[in-house]
Amino acid sequence: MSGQGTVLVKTYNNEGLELESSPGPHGGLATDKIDLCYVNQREVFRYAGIPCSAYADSVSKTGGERSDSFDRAHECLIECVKEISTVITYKVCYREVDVIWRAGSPQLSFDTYESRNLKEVLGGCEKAVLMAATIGMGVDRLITKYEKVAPLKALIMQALGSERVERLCDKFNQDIINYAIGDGYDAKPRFSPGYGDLPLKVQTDFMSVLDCAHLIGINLNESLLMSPSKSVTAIIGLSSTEERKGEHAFDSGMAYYKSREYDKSREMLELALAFGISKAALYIGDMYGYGYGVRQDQAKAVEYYTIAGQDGVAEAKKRLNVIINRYEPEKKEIKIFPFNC
Amino acid sequence: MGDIREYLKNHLLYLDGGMGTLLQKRGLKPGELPERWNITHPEIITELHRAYYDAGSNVVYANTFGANPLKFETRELEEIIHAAIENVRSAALQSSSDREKFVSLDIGPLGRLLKPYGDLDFEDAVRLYGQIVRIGAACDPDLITIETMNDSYDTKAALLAAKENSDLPVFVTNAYGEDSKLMTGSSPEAMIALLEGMGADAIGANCSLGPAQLREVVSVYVEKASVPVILKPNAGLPRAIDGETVYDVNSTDFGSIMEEYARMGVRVLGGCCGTTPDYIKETVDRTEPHMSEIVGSHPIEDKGISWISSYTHAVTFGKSPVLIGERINPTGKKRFKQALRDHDIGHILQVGLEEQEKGAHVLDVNVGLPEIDEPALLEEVTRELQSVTDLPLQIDTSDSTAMEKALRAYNGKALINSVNGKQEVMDAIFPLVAKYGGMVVALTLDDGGIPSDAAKRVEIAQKIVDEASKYGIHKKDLIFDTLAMTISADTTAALATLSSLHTIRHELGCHTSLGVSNISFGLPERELVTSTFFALALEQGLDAAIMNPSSLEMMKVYYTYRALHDLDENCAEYIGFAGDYAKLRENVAQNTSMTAAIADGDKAAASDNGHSELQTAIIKGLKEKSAELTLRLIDSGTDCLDIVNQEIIPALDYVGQGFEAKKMYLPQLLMSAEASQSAFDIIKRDMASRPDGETAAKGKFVIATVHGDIHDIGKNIVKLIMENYGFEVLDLGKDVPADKVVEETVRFGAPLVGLSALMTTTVPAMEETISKLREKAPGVKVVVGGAVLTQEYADRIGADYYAKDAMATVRYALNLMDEANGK
Repeated sequence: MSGQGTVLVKTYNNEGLELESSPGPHGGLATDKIDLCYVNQREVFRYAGIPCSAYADSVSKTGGERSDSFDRAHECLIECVKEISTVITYKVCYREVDVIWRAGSPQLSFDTYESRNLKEVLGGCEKAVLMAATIGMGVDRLITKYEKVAPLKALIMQALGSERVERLCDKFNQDIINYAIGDGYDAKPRFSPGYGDLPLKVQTDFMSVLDCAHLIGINLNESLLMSPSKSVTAIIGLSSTEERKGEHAFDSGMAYYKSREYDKSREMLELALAFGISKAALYIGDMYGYGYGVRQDQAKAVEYYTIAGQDGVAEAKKRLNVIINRYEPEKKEIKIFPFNC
Repeated sequence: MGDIREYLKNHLLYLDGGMGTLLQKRGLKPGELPERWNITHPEIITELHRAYYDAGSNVVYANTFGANPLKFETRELEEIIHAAIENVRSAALQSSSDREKFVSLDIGPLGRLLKPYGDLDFEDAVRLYGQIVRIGAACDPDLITIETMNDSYDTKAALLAAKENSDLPVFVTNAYGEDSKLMTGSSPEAMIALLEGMGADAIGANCSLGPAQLREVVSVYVEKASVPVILKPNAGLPRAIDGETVYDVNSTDFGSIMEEYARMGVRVLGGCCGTTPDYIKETVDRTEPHMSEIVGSHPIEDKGISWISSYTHAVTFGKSPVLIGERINPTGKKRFKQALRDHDIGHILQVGLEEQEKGAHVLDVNVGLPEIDEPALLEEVTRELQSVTDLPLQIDTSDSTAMEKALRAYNGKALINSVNGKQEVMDAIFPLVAKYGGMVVALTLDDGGIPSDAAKRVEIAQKIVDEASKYGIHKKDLIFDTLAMTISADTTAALATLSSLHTIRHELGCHTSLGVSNISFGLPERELVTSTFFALALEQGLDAAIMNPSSLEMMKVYYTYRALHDLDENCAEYIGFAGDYAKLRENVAQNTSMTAAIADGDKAAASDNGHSELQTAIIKGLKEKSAELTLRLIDSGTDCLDIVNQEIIPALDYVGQGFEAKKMYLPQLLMSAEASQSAFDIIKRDMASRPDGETAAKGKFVIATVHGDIHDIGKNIVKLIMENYGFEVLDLGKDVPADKVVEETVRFGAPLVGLSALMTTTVPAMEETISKLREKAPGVKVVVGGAVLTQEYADRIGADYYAKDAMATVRYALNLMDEANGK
């Protein structure tokens, strides 16, 4: 089976951590560079339940006006950063996979439960990167320890862990974007199991497709949560940057169609359909309807004609009428009152 | 085929190479379970096995790496394991190689992480592995291999299962990362100590890295392991080239590094991911001709290392003194006794962490009180402690049931306290040491009591050494305590202890330990005597002391002894200590004068907004200050209940209201909670010291994160705030089955239960818990909370109340109490 690249592991060096010295206008970094060394305080505090507005307030105040509890939260964060930096590891395992389109839905090597959100984030993609990232078990140990003896520190440590793993994902994502651009692809925003209508059950597939337990030590528990808890799985769609990719796929599909290489033709037409070329559905429908290169299957034909018909392809509507009239004789009105009697 | 252990004494042993990569080439699809191929494609599996035997492998692993009860139903699991071992056996028969051939059952990780970081219970893991071992052993392989384990606790579960369910030799290899540690943080030393202690027959490393990257790990193993060392690395690191997986070390380079390692002392050689029969052949070709030379220069011999371990590291006895913290022990400590009775695990952990901070290397754990269930509590405390500290533990109990439970649960090689010359004690303890591993503290006393003269104590020691050897327990795993007795009763006591200590250390060649504090019992300024005795004992060859690491005098002896005995390079640690020493002495002086300064005049400055000083300290979240002010109030005669009701609760209310009005945030709420906690600690200590400890509890409350959910920070916050408001809280922890919640609620007699769930997937577990509570504990109210919950959800699953945060829970609970009192 094609479409499954090697699972690779990427480890980022842990070269010490420091708090961001000067947050940019939106609290983020002043530059676009995503460097794992810097901890975004504002994010950490947001995870810890201090809203951004309150944080911005506290930063703008000086001296005696500043609430000393913010100072203490800040001190606590400094301690947490110091402790976490000795145990944190940044590991990602990932794999490039082909996205096959069937009837306008993306197909991976595992069931994605017809997720509409996944369809949106993979729109127009013929490849995707599956990834799993973790900052390791040491962070969980610190959190567990402080949960038992120092709740505030546990809270800040939790928040810091969340910020770290998100930062790791951003960093890796940036690498994927760079790599994708070099290869003539655009990377779509990353999307994780459990978001929107992509059910958490697909975690199981992510774990096995990416060999996570073995490669970077992520295990899944019975309720599909990951250990280490500061781990993330996601999919990043890759779409070709050629502007007329859809048309190209359609043209190539039609060329195969004419040369009667129906398997290849179907593959390209499905891709074209994924790029929104509805007419492709008409020809895929024909292949099923007439049995070109596949076993004849009226139901499938109807499915594709319907897709094309909905987008206003007139021929598809006609064919749909013919099939419905011919193959659904049980519809009584047609039988009793034939139009042409 | 003979016994592989015998064969190993005079031979290098060759294992097989990679399987998964070869199977993929033969058409195994991603996501397809390779173990099924034993049945569907036996000819391919047998052919691959045969290729390894032909290449020179002595041992071929059956294709059972992932064959476990979590992946397969029992019937299929049996079929797979039977077929897999049969496939290896046919390959051995078909192979043209005339070398000795062995068949191994192969066991890999279950794929689920153990508690507390995952959700699989240790004993469940032992049971699951046990099932594999029983099925496998019935097929009569020559050995069992446990491989690619990346968690020490999981490794222990598998090895224990192998030992409990078969008599076969067991090989164990772990997967080390680039940092030369397991994924869960264990060093090679920690693994060697653990695995040898439990009786593994050969140990080492496999997978994860190429041979070159494992150099550091290999050198530790060959230097420190007493059993044969295994190395089965990958063919380097994988790369993707044109969609194909390619490993970056070829068979020639692989063979050459393996030869080098064999010459360093690795006895068992093989390959893992990416290696093929060529890699094995290369390794065999390079080493087999020199086998007698290689084997001759590295005989398998006991390295004689006396050590214990935690999940991260080993602590070795013999060179530098080992400090064993004595504070987790109820003897003479009212507050600690109270904590044991109240099941206040937090306090116990706090004591342990303080000892670690003060410089203890090992923590003694004693939770024995007549009125408590010691076996259950000792096991629980062992598990809890190892989740917060990486120090090795000394399990201290005279109850052998409690000892066994704690040793099973312990994630490492423990120090066992203790055995002595009494036959029935040795009969009870030595089998546990032989099974679970461990170093044992051996007291030089017997049925005749403690001999007053040194020679008799040495005699008892010799008897213990002899008896231990019957169980295969080497004297390196015995550490003798020649019993320090107070000189206030007998002024020759110290001399007898020191003289027998010297003999045992230098003539019997065993390590020694002392509970040094006993020496000064009944004398004034005990620390002075104890610390001098400690220094004298060190000079006589004392290896470890059970002591109080908070004692400045004791630490002074420790640091100066190390500096004077060339154990402290450039005296750096001493200099560090000396800096602290000056500061600490000042603090001691200040603390003693503090009580005298009650009438100081800084009250006006501290209070604002009409809050009292203590209230201000709590609102601002000042821990030390809150504790100090509470102590002052108690000393000035204020009633404890008044402090709670008039000082602490109003302060918490103020913060709570600020939180509800979104003027204060979660971190601030927690800071105040911690500050009031420290005030409560003072109050508790005061109450514990009174004859009939009055309790200030408002009401009882049970809290749990429901089954399947392992996120509990929210639950912990609610617990803390509820405790602050004076509720007696029973925390059942996370991932709690419905039945347990019901059972404990009934037992504890709480009128209110709080349930927490973070995920939509665990809300059904919450619903189930509520319906069981309704059935078995009618009248009990249920409050629910957690990230995914909403009022609608709460209504739908039949909860009495939805609390959006900790404060809402408190308000609801207080209202309930008011209602109940109103009636």
